[in-house]
Amino acid sequence: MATIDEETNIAGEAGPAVPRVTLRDPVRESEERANQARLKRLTEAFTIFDQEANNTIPSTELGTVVRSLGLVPTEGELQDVLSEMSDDSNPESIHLDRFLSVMNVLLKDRRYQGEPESKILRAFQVLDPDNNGFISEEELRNYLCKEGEPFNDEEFQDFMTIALDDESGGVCTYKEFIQNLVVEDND
Amino acid sequence: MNHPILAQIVPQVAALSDRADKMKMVSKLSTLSIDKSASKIQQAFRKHQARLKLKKQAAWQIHEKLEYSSEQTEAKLKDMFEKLIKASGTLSPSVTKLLHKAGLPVEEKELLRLTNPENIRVEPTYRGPRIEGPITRKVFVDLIEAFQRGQVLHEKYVCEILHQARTILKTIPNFNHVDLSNLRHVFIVGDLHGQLADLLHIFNSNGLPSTDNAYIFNGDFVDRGRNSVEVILLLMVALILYPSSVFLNRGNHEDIMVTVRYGFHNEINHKYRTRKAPLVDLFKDIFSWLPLYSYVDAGKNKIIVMHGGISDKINLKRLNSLARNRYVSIEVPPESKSGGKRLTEEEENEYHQIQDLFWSDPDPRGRRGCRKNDDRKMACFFGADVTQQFLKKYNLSMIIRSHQVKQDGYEYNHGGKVLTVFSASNYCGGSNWGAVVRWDYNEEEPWIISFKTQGVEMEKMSFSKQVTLFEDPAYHSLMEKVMTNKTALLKEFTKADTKKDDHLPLTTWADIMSDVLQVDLPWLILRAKLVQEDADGVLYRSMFNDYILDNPKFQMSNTGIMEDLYMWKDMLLALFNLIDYNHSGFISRNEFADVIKLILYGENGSGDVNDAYVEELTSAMDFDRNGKIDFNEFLESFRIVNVKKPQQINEKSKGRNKSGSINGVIVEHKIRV
Repeated sequence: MATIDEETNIAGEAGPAVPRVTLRDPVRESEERANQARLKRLTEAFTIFDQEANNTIPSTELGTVVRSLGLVPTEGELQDVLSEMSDDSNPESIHLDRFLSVMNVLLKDRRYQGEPESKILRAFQVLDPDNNGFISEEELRNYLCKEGEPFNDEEFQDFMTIALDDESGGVCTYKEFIQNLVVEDND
Repeated sequence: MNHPILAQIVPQVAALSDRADKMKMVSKLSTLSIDKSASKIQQAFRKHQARLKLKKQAAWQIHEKLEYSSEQTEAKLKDMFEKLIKASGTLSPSVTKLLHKAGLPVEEKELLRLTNPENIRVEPTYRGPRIEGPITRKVFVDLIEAFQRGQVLHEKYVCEILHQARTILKTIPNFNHVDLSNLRHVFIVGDLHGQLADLLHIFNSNGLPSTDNAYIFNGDFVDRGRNSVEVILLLMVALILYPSSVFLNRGNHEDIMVTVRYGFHNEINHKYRTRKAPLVDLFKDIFSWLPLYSYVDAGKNKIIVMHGGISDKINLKRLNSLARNRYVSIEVPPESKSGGKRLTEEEENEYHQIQDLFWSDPDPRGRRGCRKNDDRKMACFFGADVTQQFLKKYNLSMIIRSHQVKQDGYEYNHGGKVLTVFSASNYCGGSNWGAVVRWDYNEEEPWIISFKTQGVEMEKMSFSKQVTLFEDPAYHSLMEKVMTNKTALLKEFTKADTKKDDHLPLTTWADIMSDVLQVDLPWLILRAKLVQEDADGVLYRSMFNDYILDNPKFQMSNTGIMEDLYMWKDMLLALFNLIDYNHSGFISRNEFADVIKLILYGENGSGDVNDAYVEELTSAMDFDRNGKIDFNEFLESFRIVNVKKPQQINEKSKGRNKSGSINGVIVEHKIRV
């Protein structure tokens, strides 16, 4: 399929228009479209947290925005992303343009992808050496508030609300919990 | 300590596991593994929480934008009236006269006669509260208890209260002067919207209004909630009891054209069937006598409190001296004093000031200056510079206003110079806090008290379940909008589908959604709940698969007409309620045809109307072929039905506070400075 552009002829004179034929490149087109969709998706996620509608978000919200897009950087990795995006003159907030350019690359390169369900299950099993199928609140508190990238009190509370969703009396049957936890990605 | 998994990962460990001196290495390795495992779990959880927050924000946005979008009908109606008054004779004189009536003050003598409490008899079967003798504090408390039990006050006593309140309101100047050197402190309450539980909670925690416990109620007492009548009655009683410490400001919902669409009318119809017309007129009159704003002298600070906001046109001197009861409805311009059809320039200016006072918002994008309010399509967005100039001109420290729902129940703007306070918690099925402001004499800053009144079940629910509950009505409203615009959407979709393969690129689909539905939402984030897609793009037809627009009373198979009627539903409702002034529920075929012409006139902007189309519509509506149209029933029987689950009829959550039970209220309370 071809589209036709009209242009002046090569000598640059304003002579009769010479039609120029451009070939459509379906692969490039679909890449273009994917790019556009990605940018729009990123802008939407950013804008939703942009309370003052001035194309910035507070740096403290970056974690939420990035994770809401399905990426799971560690806290350390998040700091790296933050420093790439923030502006020295205004470190407290992140501007949409910086956000877009950094995130576009991260998404394209498929960085910081999350773990599949099976790996999370394995992680729980490490914490459950006797293979009981469940872990008590006490143990969870020990692990999750002291190891890895510890939860603060609020995070742990929220975690336990979901973890103890079924009336299992103070323990977390992690297999079911994982099903509640793993959210479908549609990007 | 022979950990099976560890042994698989590190075979050497298995070999060494029975050697005590190697135990240290084993435990170190397992600690590493625990560390990594904990990290994985924490990461997965944090991602989950972030996704939830996103969903919640998205639902909130849908909620907000759709609310504005429905309020745009006010602007359309207003424009239509303006056109009507300026144009000449497109409609029959009887309809024109009736529409004019909306903007006219009610004839006082007749009104008082029709609602004279002495002429109203109370049946011996009435078991509700009574008011015998003067209205006292005991009456106030009795009413609160009765309303809490769900009782409805007899119309005799309603008229008693309203007559007395009206007398007082007529004596008040256009603004309330609130002097804290006497009163010591004042509570400022924002939108209540008929949510009795919130009002009662406010009284419970902060004390009933009294001579030394002053209150300002900043408008929007009615509409949307289930107890608009009870809320406004209590405020009126408070005013009667303590006129020097209870102050009422008018809101944009204290307006007959608005209450006709947002529930107050229906509530009166439902609770006071026999005398609904004169009661509606009485409220209409009382609304027009409500003061325009309050001026609070807090010693070191002087604060102005109004419902909506300001603009660059606001002139307090003018506002203080105008005849406020001429503005019966803020949407219909008052009659010109000059006797001509049009308002003079001065009168136009005055009319715009009134609109701005009740409908404006601080600019949501932080821009400077004053510009047309894009969300509501009338009044202004005002910038920080406008606020600054206004405050300076009138020697004020701050503006306190309401009008917009806020997540925390309050919000500061313009560098702390504008404070929004909204007191209806969990508004319209949402999950926002309500707030109340308290200013003490000579204090630099106010106290802000936030609260939520909600059913017990909500509290026990996990965050994700709460989000789902909040999402459902939002998405349902969105689907309604989609379904009513199905024809227009499909037209644009097929036009853009150049390859004719029923697919569209994501961004193209999103742009069309924004354009046709006239609402700017994060479509890509929302798309999973709306439409199917595959590697080739969005399958746009799938958006309409799950729902149908249905009306059991409608026998016509022409879905185009059904969609048009549904799309104009709000306008039709408003116009019909005006025409059917004695609220019989019927209008004649001719009147119906006139109203359709009016709407088409408003849409096309010209006098040309397709007569055949009007005839088709009218015939479709006249079910019994008796020349009368029972429109209320018809309009109310529109619904969006999920065809996958035919038994489950999704109720539109308009006006329904899901957690509105007054008994079993759980309250969360936080105080901030």
